[in-house]
Amino acid sequence: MPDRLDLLQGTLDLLILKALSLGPLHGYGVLLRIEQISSQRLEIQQGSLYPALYRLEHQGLIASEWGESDNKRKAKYYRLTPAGRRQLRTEADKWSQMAGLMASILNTTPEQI
Amino acid sequence: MIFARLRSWWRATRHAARAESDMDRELHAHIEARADDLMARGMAPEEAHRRAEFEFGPLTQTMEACRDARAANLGPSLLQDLGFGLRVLRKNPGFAVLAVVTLALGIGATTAVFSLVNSVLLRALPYRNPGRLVYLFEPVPHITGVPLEAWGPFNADFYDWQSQSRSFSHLAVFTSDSTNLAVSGAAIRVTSSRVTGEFFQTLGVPPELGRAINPDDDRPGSDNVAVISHALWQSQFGADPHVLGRQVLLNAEPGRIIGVMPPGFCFPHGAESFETAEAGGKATDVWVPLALTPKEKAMREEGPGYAIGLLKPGVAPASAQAEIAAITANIDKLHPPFFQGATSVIRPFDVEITGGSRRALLTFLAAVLLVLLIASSNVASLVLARMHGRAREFSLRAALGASRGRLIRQLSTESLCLAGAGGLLGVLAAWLTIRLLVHFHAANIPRLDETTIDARVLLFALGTSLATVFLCGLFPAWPASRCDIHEVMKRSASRTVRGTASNLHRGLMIGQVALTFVLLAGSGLLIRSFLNLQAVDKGFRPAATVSVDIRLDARYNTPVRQVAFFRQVIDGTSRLPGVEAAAAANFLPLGGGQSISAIEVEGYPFDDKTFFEQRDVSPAYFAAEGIPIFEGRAFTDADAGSSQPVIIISRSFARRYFPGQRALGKKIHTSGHRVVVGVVGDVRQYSLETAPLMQFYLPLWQNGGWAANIAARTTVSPDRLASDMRGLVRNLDPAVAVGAVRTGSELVAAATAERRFETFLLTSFAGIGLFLSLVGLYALLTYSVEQRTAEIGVRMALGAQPGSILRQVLAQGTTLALGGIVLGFAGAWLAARSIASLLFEVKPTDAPTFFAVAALFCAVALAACYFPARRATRVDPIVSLRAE
Repeated sequence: MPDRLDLLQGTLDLLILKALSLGPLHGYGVLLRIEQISSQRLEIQQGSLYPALYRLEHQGLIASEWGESDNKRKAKYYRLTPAGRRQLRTEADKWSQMAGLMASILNTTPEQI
Repeated sequence: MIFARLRSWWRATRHAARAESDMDRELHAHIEARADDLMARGMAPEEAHRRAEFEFGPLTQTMEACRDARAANLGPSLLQDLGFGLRVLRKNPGFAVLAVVTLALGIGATTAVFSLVNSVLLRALPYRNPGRLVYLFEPVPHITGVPLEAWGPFNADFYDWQSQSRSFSHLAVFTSDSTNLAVSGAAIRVTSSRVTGEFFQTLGVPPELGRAINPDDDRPGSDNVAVISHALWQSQFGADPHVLGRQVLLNAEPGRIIGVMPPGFCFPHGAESFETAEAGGKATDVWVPLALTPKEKAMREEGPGYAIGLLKPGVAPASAQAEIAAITANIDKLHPPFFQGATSVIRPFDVEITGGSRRALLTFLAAVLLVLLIASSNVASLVLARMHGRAREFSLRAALGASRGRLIRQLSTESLCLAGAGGLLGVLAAWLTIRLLVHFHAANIPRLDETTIDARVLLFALGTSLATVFLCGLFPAWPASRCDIHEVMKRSASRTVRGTASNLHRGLMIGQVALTFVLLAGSGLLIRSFLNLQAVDKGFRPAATVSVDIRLDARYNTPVRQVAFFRQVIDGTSRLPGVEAAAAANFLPLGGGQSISAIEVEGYPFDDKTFFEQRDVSPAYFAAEGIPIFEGRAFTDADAGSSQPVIIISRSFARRYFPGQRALGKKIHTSGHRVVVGVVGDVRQYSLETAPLMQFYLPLWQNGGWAANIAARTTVSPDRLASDMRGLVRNLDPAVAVGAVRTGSELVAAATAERRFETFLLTSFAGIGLFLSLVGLYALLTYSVEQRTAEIGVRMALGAQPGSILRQVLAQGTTLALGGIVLGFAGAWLAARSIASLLFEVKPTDAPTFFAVAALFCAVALAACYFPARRATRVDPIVSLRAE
């Protein structure tokens, strides 16, 4: 099993938005999708997913409706709203800028100064 | 986004039940799905379910977090807090009642005083442009002893100001008089004002009916017109809509009513001007044109009126003053020599009208804020005490997952319940207090009677209540919410000696005592001042005297006619049943009014810098007012007309000018060469608080006068005498009215009313503060004894004597009280300077007052400590050891 990373503070919302941008999912599906696209390297406390989903819905970034899951169970499906899509874009931009900046700072060698 | 949030909150709240079941289903669906996955990997169903639930984590906490995320909790949990808070308070009614009453006292007193400040200092004056209205005075600085407010401009100077200045939109002069008004039948006395043409334009208040006086009316020989007040319209004309054009008699001359002013307009009003304060502080009811003749307009030694002006927009009072001062300097040489050197002073309306009471009101506000602080800290220490008792409850709730924020919210909601109830009761108390204060108060603070509870006052009360929530709820809640579960569990498991009250609690108590001491010391100083004032030698005996004032009209235009009329009144009054002496005088002691002059005493050079109080009195005046005669005689009916001019002087006058000699027979020059025929006692004429100038008396029968006060020493009731005198005057001349009836005691009461009011108010605050801090002290000790029951039980079981237990608890209480007193002593020592101007013949740092207050406080604090201490000695060791 690859090393598992704890979630950085504040990144769960962004991950959920990303997961949902690939298509509507129910809560458990979101969890699986994140684990899948992170190649099982991110561990998410399952219970903590729902407050985040509810918060995003409260903010109008995602919307939900009840549907039927693959194995014929009733499940609540979440999808991205246009506002959520915009939010994902700006957050992703910020994130990659930050990541690039951090990477370049951390890769600085004495010679470069 | 905002809408989405609101919608989400609304859905969560509105469809709470469905949202709950949805959430439940969703979370369980998750766990089911996970279990399915695990089973698909070959796990046994039971094991799979257990594993799925474990991985999910604590379900109820997740649900709570979800509710929080949707803000669904806000409504229900607030309600829950509220309900729980109320239940908690109901379970402990003693605490709740004590806290609510304490808060009600604090908030009520603060709100009441704030509403006074609001109506007197903050609320705009009821004129169109109150901010631009100013008074204009023309003082002559070398004439000392005359208050600024008495210096209305000289007539010609005013008209020069009016024609030359550019700073004013309007300028006007008004007088404060009283008038005999006859609508039908006998005349009544009303307060009146003669005004120049721009008076109503200056104030900018349009009449309710008809028209106001305009510049065309302000001419000699034009129709006699009159504008009346709303109150007079109602009382004398039955609010008749056809009152316009009605003919009335004003000082026995016909006049026509042209307008009615709206309710509340009564300028010049009461203490607003020097002169009406003398006339008894009444609201003006009738306005007539001043209509000066050209000859009067040209006078530079007469100025019967007071000037007001409306500044042009954007003109500052200071620049207007500079302009007026320049004009005045130019015309100064035209004044008679005595009045040369005249200057001018411009004062904004609000400063002039309420400036004098600003200091006293702000002192009250400061004092009442101390009361509020005491009340808040009292409730805070009550809450703290309970918090200790509830430590186990809180640690249990914390253990069950309540967050710190949640606990603080719970506690704040409880304080909110308290403060809400306290605030409501407080506003009610404030309303009652205001009624009492307005009723109690005798018109010395202008606009006080307009005090009501308006939106601003309610807002203030709300703010105050919220501030107390913060002070007495959140503040103690903070340490309590941080309760350490282990600590509490450990403590409750064992039966060791518990800490007594916390440091915070003790600190609050000491602060409270200190604040109370400051209040007590302040009120002690005021009480001493008041007693000093009561003990002042007034120089006359006000008890059993009754006075009325009578003003004659133009038919009595010679001294002979005036004297003849007043002699008839005096003779008639003297014959009334129960009258021991009756006399007339232009001004009565403490009746308001002052006339001062410089005179020449034979043997001394004329000194125009030394002023004397002058009275014109009839023969029995000294007997009627109870003024002692030390040498010579009073006036007689023979001192009249063209007989030898005589004068009576006060004792300080005699001592200053004729030391060691007989004053009788000395010569004094004032309106003729006069011979001293008597020396009488000094009388506090104008104010009880200041020693009078040297005084002299002239015979009224020699000088005459338009108006006089009739004073009678009597054995019958004032009302009976007054109605007898009214009948007497009506028989003599029905067009002459008898003015306000005042007893000597009423005059003295009015002269001390302001001080009594201040003393009463500050003493009430101190009383409330004392009560609160004694309750606080009592509660703290009771609580501490309760907490230490086990310890005391152990000690008693080991043989401690009740005496030593008693001493120990008493010592605990008195230490706190003494700490507070020492702190308060220092605070009061510093704070007392700020009320120095409110004191009378007592130093702000009067040691006897301070020590008396300290002793009083110690005594009552000891009493407050005694009961809890007694309770401690009654602890039964067996019961107390089982108590836990």
